[in-house]
Amino acid sequence: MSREIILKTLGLFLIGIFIYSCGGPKKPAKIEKVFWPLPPEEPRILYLGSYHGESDFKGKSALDVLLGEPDKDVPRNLIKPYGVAARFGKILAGDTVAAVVFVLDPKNKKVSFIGDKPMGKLRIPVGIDIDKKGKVYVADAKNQRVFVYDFKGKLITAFGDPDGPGKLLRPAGIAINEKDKRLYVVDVLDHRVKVYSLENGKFLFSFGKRGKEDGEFNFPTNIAVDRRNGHVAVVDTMNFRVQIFDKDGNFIRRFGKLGIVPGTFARPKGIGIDSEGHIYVADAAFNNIQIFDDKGNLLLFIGKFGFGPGEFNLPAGLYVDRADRIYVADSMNKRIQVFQYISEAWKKKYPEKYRQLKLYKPENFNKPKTKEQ
Amino acid sequence: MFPFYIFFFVFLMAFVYAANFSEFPFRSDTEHEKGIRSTKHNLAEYKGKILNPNITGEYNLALCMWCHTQNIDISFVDVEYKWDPEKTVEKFPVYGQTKKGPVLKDISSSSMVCLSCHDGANAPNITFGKSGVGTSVHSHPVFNIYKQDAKYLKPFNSPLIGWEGRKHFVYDLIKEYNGRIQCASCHDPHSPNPLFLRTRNKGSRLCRGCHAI
Repeated sequence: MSREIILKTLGLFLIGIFIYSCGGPKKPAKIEKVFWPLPPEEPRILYLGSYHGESDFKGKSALDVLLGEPDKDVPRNLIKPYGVAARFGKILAGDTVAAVVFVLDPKNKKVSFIGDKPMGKLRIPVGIDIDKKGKVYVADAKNQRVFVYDFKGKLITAFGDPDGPGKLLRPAGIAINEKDKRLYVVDVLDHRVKVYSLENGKFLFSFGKRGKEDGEFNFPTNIAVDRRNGHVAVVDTMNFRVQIFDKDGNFIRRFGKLGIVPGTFARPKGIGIDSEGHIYVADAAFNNIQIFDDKGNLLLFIGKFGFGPGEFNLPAGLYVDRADRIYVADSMNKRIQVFQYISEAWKKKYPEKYRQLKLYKPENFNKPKTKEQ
Repeated sequence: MFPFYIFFFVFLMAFVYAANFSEFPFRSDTEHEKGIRSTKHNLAEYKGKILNPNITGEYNLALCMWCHTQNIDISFVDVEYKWDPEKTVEKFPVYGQTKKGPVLKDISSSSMVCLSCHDGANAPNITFGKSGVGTSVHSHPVFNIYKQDAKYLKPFNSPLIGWEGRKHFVYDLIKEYNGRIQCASCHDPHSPNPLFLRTRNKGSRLCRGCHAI
């Protein structure tokens, strides 16, 4: 009799442990098999993962579900991200609906927020960049300022005095040139790029005006700095092209025009430049990312419309960090997708992973899933 | 003899009533162009000059191609993917479509055109919220099915009294979008009306097109 009770108790206990172990934090789906181009070509871009917000790290265990524990706090996830940046192991995503910047920390499995406090409250955060001291620069399109925070969300200062010469009408993309201590801000409605000093926030100069000639803009939105030589690439969205300037704003070259064929643009948005000078341009109409070399020759495109890995639904901001990881704000899929550019340095660092990629044969190539969820 | 002036008076009243509701009784294709030219959606014109560098010639096209991009034929100019030379070069499907056609049931590609610009940076943001029947934009439900038998909603065959343009019945507003409400159900991006509404909302005329009191 007592033996039966012990057995039953033990059985229940084991079942309990089994149920408990079922739960655990939901990890961002890591599918390493998605890469471009397909073999036999040399692999160049590898999909690393996606981040949605707090639900990436805060899993509900099965025991909670069984006990019916009420949701104390609904996880705050991205709603419609635009700007994205990453440094020091953290990913920053500006959400235009939630009106905060999400600080995703995959290493510590934490999410914190910038711009939700009364001091420096954000309304439409668009451009984000981070300098080497850990200062976060956020361009707010509605507040007409560039706010500077620390990683904890404390407001340090703001650029773009409305009474001064560096007045901003609708700042969007921003980029930092660390060598020359400059901050480049794209002003959409002023059709200009405005340059500020990183040290004291002083307005230095601006370049461009509205027009269609070289060096002129029509609703430019995003900007990226080539970290090798300080050149800046500006997405001239409504002229459907990318223009490249030197660090003082002198026109160098342009590429792209309106169209729906490769090498052209319809809604170019985010831009990023990797350590080898390749230019990545996200296009919201094509739902893909086109890759060019620094002369403007088309190299590859990745992505199509969809919900799976490497598929986009209105991509917006794009950022390439110092380790050649490409972050894309996939705005209507409510997530940040991360890719790796397979550079020579990466191949040396991860020879085993590179060998696996090279060994993939077209027949056992896992096709990217068409539907997630 | 039947007093002629009564007949005349009735006729005149009918005319005034009709004129009050339809400011553009005869709207043609050129009307679209005239309409959009005076709005913020005229992205081409700046200080009397046409900005777009790609289209030469027709002014009409320069006004349209910003959104009607898929209708513009641009021939391939020796395109090659340098990292993948074997890959076939073809047109990109635009506005949320794939090679097999549209994927999403609820959001039509016409709404994707709106969303592709209205992101907060290029143009004022479209922010989504939640409503009792799904997604909402500025507290009005969108992308959901128009239920004609629902309370306070008019049936499909009820006429849109006094509306401009070629939409005559409620069904015209949703028939192209699988019966779902899209941005273009209430907004006409070519219209000179405030907020690009399909008709001026004087006396809630726009609301009363679909909503019964």
